[in-house]
Amino acid sequence: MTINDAAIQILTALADELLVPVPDLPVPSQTLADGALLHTALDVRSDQRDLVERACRLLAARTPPYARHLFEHDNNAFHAVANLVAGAYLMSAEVRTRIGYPGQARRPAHLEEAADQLSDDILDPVLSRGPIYRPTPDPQD
Amino acid sequence: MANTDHSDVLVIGAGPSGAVVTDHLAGAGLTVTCLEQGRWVNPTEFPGDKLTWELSAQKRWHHDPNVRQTPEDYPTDVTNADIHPVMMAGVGGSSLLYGGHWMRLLPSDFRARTLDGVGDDWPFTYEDLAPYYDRVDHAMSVSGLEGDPAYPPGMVPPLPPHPIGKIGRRAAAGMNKLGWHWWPAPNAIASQRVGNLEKCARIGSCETGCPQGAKASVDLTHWPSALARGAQLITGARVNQVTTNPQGLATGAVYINREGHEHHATADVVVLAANGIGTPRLLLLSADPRHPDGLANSSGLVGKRLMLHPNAEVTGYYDEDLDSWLGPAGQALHSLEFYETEPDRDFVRGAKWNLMPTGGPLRTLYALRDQEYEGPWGNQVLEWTRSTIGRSFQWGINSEDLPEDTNHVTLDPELTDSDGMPAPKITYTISENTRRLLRYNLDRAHEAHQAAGAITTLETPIWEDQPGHLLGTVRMGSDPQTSVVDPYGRAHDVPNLFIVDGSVFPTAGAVNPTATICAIALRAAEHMVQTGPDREAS
Repeated sequence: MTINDAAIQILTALADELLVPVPDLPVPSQTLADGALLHTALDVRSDQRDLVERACRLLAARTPPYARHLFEHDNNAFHAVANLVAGAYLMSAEVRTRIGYPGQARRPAHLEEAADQLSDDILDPVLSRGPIYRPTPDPQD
Repeated sequence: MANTDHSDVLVIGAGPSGAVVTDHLAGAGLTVTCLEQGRWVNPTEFPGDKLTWELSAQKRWHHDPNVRQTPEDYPTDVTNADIHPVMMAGVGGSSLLYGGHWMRLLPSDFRARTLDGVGDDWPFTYEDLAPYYDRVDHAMSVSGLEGDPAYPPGMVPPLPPHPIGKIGRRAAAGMNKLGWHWWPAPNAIASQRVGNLEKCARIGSCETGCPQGAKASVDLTHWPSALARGAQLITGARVNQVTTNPQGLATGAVYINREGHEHHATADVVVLAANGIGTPRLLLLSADPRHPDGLANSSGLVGKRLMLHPNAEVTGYYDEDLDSWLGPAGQALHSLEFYETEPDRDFVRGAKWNLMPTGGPLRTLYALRDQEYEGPWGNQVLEWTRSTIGRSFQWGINSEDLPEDTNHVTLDPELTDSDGMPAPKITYTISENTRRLLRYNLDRAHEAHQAAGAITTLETPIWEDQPGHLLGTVRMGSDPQTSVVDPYGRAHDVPNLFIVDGSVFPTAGAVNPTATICAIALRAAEHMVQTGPDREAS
């Protein structure tokens, strides 16, 4: 699905309703305005294309607010669109920086990191209890 | 129908058990052909290091084949199932998408009937299987820490453990306050570069495949060796029947390739490694006038006693940055505090806990899913995301369910796969014992988070599409009237047919089963080699 300008307008308006802007975070409608992140999200979730189109058709003749109307009249389309705009918004580099999420990136541990994290007495309470398993019963039991 | 070259052994399924068996038998000098309905997956295909990861995990790389719906998948009818059997077709099978939690069964798991009066005893003990556990631990380059007091001595992971991270340190503090067991968890994820495995880079997207090539999936750990030893692997080969001769011996299997052409692969011995759903399905599909109830099914047990390890979880949210996107995922810690039966509880058996990171920001919205319209959306969403990202971790609860004939796999009368073969129909009800067990463990997990200082906790009481542990449907035992295969996986009814996957478990235990599946498969393969000269061949 190519998201045309009319659809972008609807989806970005929905984004501001669903992801109400808060201080210090990019405004969702502005973040999604050029459509790039929405297209990326819809490429990955192309299975949701029909529902997104259905939502846009339902809302095309209306003026905002859109979200509650969509929620009440086409719940499946609502959830598809909500997931799409949230997923798209949260892919924004600026948003990720502002919320403090660095992404699932490669950060291999340094050689001693595991040992360092166990080098104090953190395991002592576990070890002091001794074995906690039930052993294999003797065949004579 | 075209014929594939005759082999000494035909293996069906290229997942963990199929790979272990193929590699061992090829190494013993046997000609082995493996048929796999899926394909090779290059680690670079996995979405975990990509911007679109969380959205990809919702569909293309979801672990439920009914959601994923790729050409390699077959559907399952789950209309009568409380839990969906998730799995992955491909070279590597479900190890492509598993989390790499590498846990042995405990000694008591092999004696559930003797100790707790439920289920059945296994035909061997923990001590009998331990040497095979040791060998598969090495083959899978397991990373962990020796000395876990929840196990007998002697379990020595070949690689050092992964860092437990901030989430592990915080969770451990809570567990220590309560005096509960925990341990740095063993993972089949390489903490150092070894063999074909790269060093884990802690991307934290293990359950959508490892883009680093550090997680021990058998396409990396076993298939290169198996192929170098001369095994033949045919991908895109969907088996629809195990064939037999009038003497009652298995002769091979019929499969359909991706061009829609049928082939007959023949062998002296046939090994099924198609998981606890696929294997009984295939045996039932192999019904013929000589075997009207399905192949190897004189006991009537093929497909019955399905066990799925119902999972639940409690996520705790904290007031400090915990880097809770950091992998592996994988498990940072495990706890076996509530594993063994205790007489003062209103249920028997127990659960294994695993501590896991909580991934990305879209996942944070999952916590709000059950609220009314004004809940998940609107004013609180972005503030919730900002305040919780990186500040949570999850205690997952893997429960033991007991074998019951009423939980089973049959052939669906209407649903088919893309080749027209009847799909498996799953009938599975979570028992009252399991529900009590889960509730008890959920309550304890809330306590564990509170002891660790959580601001709030949220639970998922039943995870319908987890964990993909498919067990019990072709159970092993010594009595042909109450079991399908013998203690080495040989079908009682068909002496040259072996089954080596999780189908053969008499009971499920409460730990992730892949370590045991691999150990059993290796034991069975060794037995096949040792008894080969004495065995009937087709």
